[in-house]
Amino acid sequence: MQLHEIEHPKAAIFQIKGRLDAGSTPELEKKVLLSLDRGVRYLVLDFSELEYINSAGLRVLVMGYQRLNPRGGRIIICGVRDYIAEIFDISGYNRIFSMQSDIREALLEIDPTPNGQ
Amino acid sequence: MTASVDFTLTRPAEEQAELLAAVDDFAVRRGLTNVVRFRLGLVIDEMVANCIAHGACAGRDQGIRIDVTDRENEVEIKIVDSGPRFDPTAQAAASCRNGDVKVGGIGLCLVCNLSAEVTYDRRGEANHTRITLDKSTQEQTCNSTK
Repeated sequence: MQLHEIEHPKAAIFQIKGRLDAGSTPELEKKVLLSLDRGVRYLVLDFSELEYINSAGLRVLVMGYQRLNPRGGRIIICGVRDYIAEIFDISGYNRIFSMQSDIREALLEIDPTPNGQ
Repeated sequence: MTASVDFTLTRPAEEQAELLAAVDDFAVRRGLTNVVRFRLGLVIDEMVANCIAHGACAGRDQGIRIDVTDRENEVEIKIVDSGPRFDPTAQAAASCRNGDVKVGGIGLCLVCNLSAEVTYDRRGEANHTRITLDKSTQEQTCNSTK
């Protein structure tokens, strides 16, 4: 897995490439926890280059949801490939996470008027 | 043309990543679609992880044996482990579409719903689980039977 964090004033944005499984999940979990400790309310996960995710990966997302939800925060997942999207559907997690097509749409959800309009 | 590959894990926790890479290589060589390739890897991943998590494979001489057969219309996965009785079809939450966000058990829930059929049988001192993946449909149905 390759994990890239993008700085943003209102969100923690992670681009994840490759496999999110039992071996790589601890790295993402550590980064997510650090962001949550900083008080981030929005977590954006760009899965456009994610090739694989299993239940261990899903558990990290749910952990993030359980911490963000009480403080009015949200997890936004974007760019999920079709064959991966079905596990969000099966699990029902597509109803607790916001699913967007790409980062642009995800950021618009956080701030519909990014230019102050 | 039918093709098969089999694996025997004596130290599942240490060999799981290598197993999944080999399964994925098989899927690529067989030209499976991304959907079937993903389901194949995920189903085996979750079944082995479950075995490890519940200690069923730990310290067992025979560990776990996995046979994968690619046929014209389906991919068949046979898993035999020598652990205590464990019926995945009884554990899987067939109703995991109900929006009840439970983390525990999600792995088996995915196995159940991504598979065309899951059958379980206890023979002698071993668990025998047979899972089939439909190569022609995208349906997410759970047809688990014992």
